[in-house]
Amino acid sequence: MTELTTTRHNPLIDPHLHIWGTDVTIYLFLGGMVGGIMVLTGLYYFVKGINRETPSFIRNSMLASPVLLSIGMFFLFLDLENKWHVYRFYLTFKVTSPMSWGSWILIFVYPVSVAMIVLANRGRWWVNWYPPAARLVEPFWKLIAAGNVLFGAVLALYTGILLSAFTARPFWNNGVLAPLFLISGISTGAAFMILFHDGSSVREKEELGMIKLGLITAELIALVLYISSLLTSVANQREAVHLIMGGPYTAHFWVLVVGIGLVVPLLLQTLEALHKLESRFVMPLLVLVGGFALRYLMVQGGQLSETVARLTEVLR
Amino acid sequence: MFRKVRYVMVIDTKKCVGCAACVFACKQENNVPEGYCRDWIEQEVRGTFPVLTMENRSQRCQHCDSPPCVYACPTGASHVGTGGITLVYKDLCTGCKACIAACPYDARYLHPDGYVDKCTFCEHRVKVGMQPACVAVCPTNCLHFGDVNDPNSNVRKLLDTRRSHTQKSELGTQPQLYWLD
Amino acid sequence: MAKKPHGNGLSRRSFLSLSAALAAGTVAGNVLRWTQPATASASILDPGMTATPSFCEVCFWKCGIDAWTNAQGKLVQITGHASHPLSNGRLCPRGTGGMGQLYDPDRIKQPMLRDGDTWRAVSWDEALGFVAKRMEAIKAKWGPESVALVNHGHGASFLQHMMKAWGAPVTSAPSWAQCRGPRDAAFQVTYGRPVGSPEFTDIENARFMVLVGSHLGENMHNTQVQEFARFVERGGELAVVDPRFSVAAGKAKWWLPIRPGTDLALLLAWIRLLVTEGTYNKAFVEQHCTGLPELTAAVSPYTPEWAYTQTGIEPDVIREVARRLAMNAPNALVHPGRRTNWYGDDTQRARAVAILNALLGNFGQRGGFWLGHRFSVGRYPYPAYPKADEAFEAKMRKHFPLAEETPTQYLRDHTLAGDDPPIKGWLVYGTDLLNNFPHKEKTIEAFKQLELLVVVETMPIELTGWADVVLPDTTYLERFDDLHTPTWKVPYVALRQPVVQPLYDSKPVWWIARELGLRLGLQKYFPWKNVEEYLDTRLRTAGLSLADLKAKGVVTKDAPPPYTDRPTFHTRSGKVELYSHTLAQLGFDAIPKYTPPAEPPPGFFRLLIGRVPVHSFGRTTNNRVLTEIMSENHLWVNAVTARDFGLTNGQYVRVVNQDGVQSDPVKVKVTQRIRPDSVFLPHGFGRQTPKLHQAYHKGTADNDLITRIVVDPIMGGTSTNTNFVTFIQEPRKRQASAEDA
Ligand SMILES: Nc1nc2c(c(=O)[nH]1)N[C@H]1C(S)=C(S)[C@@H](COP(=O)(O)OP(=O)(O)OC[C@H]3O[C@@H](n4cnc5c(=O)[nH]c(N)nc54)[C@H](O)[C@@H]3O)O[C@H]1N2
Ligand SMILES: Nc1nc2c(c(=O)[nH]1)N[C@H]1C(S)=C(S)[C@@H](COP(=O)(O)OP(=O)(O)OC[C@H]3O[C@@H](n4cnc5c(=O)[nH]c(N)nc54)[C@H](O)[C@@H]3O)O[C@H]1N2
Ligand code: SF4
Ligand code: SF4
Ligand code: SF4
Ligand code: SF4
Ligand code: SF4
Ligand SMILES: [Mo]
Repeated sequence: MTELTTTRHNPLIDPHLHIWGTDVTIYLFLGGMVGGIMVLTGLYYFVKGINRETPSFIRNSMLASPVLLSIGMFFLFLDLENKWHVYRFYLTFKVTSPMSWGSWILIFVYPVSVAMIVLANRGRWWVNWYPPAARLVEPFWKLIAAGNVLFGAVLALYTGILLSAFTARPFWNNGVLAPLFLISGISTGAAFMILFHDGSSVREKEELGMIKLGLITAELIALVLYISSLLTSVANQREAVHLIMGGPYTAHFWVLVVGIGLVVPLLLQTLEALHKLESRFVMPLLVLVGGFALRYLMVQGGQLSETVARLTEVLR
Repeated sequence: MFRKVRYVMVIDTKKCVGCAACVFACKQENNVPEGYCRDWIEQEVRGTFPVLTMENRSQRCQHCDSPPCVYACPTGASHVGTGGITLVYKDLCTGCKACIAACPYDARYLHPDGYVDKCTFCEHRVKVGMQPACVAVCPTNCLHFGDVNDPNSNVRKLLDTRRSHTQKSELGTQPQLYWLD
Repeated sequence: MAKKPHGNGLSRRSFLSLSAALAAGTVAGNVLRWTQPATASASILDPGMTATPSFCEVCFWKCGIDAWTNAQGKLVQITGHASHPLSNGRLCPRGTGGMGQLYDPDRIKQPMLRDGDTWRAVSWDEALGFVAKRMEAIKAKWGPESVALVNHGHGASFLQHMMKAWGAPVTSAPSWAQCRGPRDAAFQVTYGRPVGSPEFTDIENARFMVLVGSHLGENMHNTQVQEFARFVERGGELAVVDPRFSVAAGKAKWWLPIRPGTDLALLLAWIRLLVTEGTYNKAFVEQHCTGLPELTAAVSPYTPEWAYTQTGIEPDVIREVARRLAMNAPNALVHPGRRTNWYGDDTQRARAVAILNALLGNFGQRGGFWLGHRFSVGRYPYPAYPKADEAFEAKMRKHFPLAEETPTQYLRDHTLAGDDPPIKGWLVYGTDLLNNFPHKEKTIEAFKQLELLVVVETMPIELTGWADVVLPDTTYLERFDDLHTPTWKVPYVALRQPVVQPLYDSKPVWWIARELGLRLGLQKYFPWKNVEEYLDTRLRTAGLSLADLKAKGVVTKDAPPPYTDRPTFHTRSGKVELYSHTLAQLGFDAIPKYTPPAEPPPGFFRLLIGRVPVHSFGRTTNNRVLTEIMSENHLWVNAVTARDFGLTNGQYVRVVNQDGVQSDPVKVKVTQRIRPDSVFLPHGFGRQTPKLHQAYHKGTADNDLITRIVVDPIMGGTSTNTNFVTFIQEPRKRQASAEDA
């Protein structure tokens, strides 16, 4: 039996760390999703080339991604305690700081995704009003596609690395977190794209469906890996798992993240594949909910994880 | 010949009574706002009645030799000053709080004015040859501060003559608060 | 409570919260959110900072301080004065937070006069004129004995002088009978010498020490804690006797979690072991003590095995500690304690402590009791005081022959009973009378017998509501007081001087005493115009000057080490009386006899009280600097007890005592650190006047739960640890409000 009494009662720190809330969660979610969209679209062009007309649902989701990213960044900005100093991020580059990496990566993400948009909308008047635009990007389409896959992936990965770099927080400090966020980013990206799919082309739908099936299974596997690697790690990481195994976030994890976010969509998708039922929006929406729930769990759980094993009474 | 200065604190919990004079002294000397603290007291009691042990710990930033807070800082606001003291440049700080998340000892807090603040080892006093405020007030004289690389410093002598341990060193932070056993 | 106008007639006095008329004065107090130290504190290295040396009075130890004011003359920090023997440059937390006393927005801001059923803010002239008139009226009718001075603190000295000059001998201080009394009386009869305050204990040089209760480390008397730490560092061995795992117990080699109230059994067993095993300090006892044979005979029944049945302490442990004591004698010490009025048989328990120390022969020895020195400074050349009547004193002595000072509860009861000489006026200086001794309703009844109740205070405490006149004193940081020259290892003289000018319309107590004295026609006793003149005159007799002390704060003198092999004892026999003839003649046990304490009723727990490091009684529970770390008291409950009653850590409960008195809601601290048969409640919280904005309804008051008392027949102390409580679960709603209260 241990009694720990402390006189410390710093806001945001005690009784446990709670510096980051929904702002950061939203950023992580949107960042991951946009990264996912970029990866998928990039891949799409590698597979299909650029000579055929890009399906509208891909074009639309592409259009949406810079906007979504900007929204995400706005929320990140909201989280800054000293907003006037935001420019400080770009007066230096700190190799050891994931956040510094993150802010610079964004600098590259915008151009490549915009270039991609231009490429995909070559025929449209709002690209063609100035002919050279299209002709400028066309020759480099492979590069641009590759850039989207690369920076999309980095963006999605980064949202995970940002957290996993914190050795101080057992629930975060885990190598599988970044891949997990990448996969989850891609599947939320895919889900987002499907929302734009009018369902006219059956072939596209089935292709997409297959992709989703793959992604969800991948994410399930990643989750298992994540948990098992926590369980097989040092004491405080094992304790951290308690958060989702009987601890405060158990229901959240099993119902929202696993149930609604993965298992149910998986079922729906299989049923659809077997033409058992037609669920146009339900399944992608569930995946998005799950994706957000995962980010939320990670942000909150991670902050709680250091304190979780400790019994702390603040003498005040 | 040149010798690198390394300030450390050596703490004798055997003497500490957990009275918190060090906390009040710090708050006054460093104008720490109401409701915040740079140092704090942990009183840990183990066992079951009547077989008990007690440890009183006066806690603060550990001025780590490899400080995750500094590594995590995207703007260079968190930095290592002379003598290995970890400090924050207010005017570089964005309040992104990465350093707070990075500190395994929860030694940092967000100052109401929008920057991150923490124990400075009373650098301003040390510069002019004074002891930190918490060290100076302590009625049990259980806090010892000095340059560990100076063979004549009492911190060095204490570390050479008595066994000690550090906290959460498994995280590779190389903390520079030494706790005498 | 009905507010009847207060005329000269009896029992018309009613409670009158200072609020009414103070409203104007305390608007600030109501709205002001405390921003100390956020806005006001600063580094002592900042430009424009100046240090004023003085001494502390957040408690009564009186450590030397440097008070730092910034360029605007605002006090921003207090540090320990380097060359003051009591602080050695270091301070306890309370002294460090002293600025919270000065800048407390709730302070009394101007003299207040009860006018029918309202308060009137009045000029000092009107207030003092009123007091003088009433005092003279009482004197005319009943004589000067009928006005009593109830006081505590260094500032009181000028009032004491004024009262003596006026011919009024009756004084009392809760800080004696409610505190050190039993111990002081016991050591006086045994050694014919005081233990002193600060105590003459050579803790730092002891090789073995026993603490009986005394919770050093929570009891933060600075120098003792400093010595205690050095004792620990030097590897001194420690045994702590305490039902609670105190901080000191946490450093002890032996913690003896004694059954509360059975200490005498343990002490007698130790005495028996020393005398029967012949391990006592023969040289010292043969040379300096009387009554060994009587002692040996008297303690023969008290075997360790017997003591075990009373105390619950293993016989082996009892033997081991006794062996260690003897082995380390004379550099071994059984600390005499300080607040010793626990059970009503306290003088006898303290006697056993005194005897035990005598058997160790540690008097005048390193690690025992030192013989200190005093810095001699001449008195001010006043004319002799008028001869004072002794009727009251004589009556009091009949009740409590060995009381060195009038027990406050005796003064209260005497006043209430209207005995001769009738007590018709109380002049109260710096004592929190409704929170520091039991049966406050009786105290209030006594107030109703008074023609005059003057309260000289800094804070609008509950007591002020019963006064006719409330006089706002300055805090210790705003005034000169008389010199401090206590007996200590090195002789020194220390000065208290103003750090800032008096806030509001408060006046330094020396001024109050003098102005009142002049209005009482005592001109010849106040020849000096101002206190500087007085202080300088005194200092000159020692070849010093006020200028010196203003600059230095304290002046010490070299002196031989405070040890001796030729101690003298001022008892009747001139020896240390193991067997006390004095007590025998007075019809008390000449050698302490053990009587078992009352058992708690089933389902009840013994209420124990004590200190917390960051507070001084109730005087700091409104101090915004200190309450930042502790704003309410916690009720310590053993984890097993808590489980039985379904109490969880941090929840609020009420307790009710054996007489049905209910507490306010108080936070439970579920802990292993206390015996399952007891609970522990720190003193000074649960203030009941909203005028104390910070302290109001924070925690609960121990004093209100202390309704069953045993009065020490020898010196008149009243017991605190003779009460039992059980728990009442708190309805959620009240808890919430208590939380955000
Ligand atoms: N921080 C701080 N320090 C202070 C003060 C303050 O207000 N605040 N006040 C000062 C003053 S004036 C005084 S008098 C002293 C008082 O300080 P002490 O003289 O130490 O007072 P005690 O009543 O002995 O201390 C209470 C301790 O006795 C234990 N106790 C209770 N019942 C028993 C019992 O039956 N047997 C034994 N052996 N122990 C028991 C309690 O658990 C508690 O640990 O503190 C001084 N120092
Ligand atoms: N229930 C209970 N009763 C106790 C104790 C306990 O633990 N529990 N402890 C006992 C002990 S050990 C002691 S020593 C006594 C102490 O009891 P007191 O002698 O009454 O001391 P305090 O309780 O500190 O009350 C001091 C009062 O003086 C006021 N004051 C502070 N500074 C100044 C000043 O500069 N000038 C003036 N005029 N007033 C000032 C404060 O506002 C406070 O109201 O209480 C004893 N009574
Ligand atoms: S001041 Fe000294 S003794 Fe008191 S808590 Fe701080 S370190 Fe411990
Ligand atoms: S303790 Fe925390 S704040 Fe201090 S240096 Fe180490 S990581 Fe940084
Ligand atoms: S909060 Fe300030 S100091 Fe901390 S990491 Fe961000 S910029 Fe650096
Ligand atoms: S070293 Fe200075 S800043 Fe650090 S805790 Fe001590 S007083 Fe505060
Ligand atoms: S012990 Fe603390 S409160 Fe008492 S006088 Fe000394 S510093 Fe002041
Ligand atoms: Mo006391």
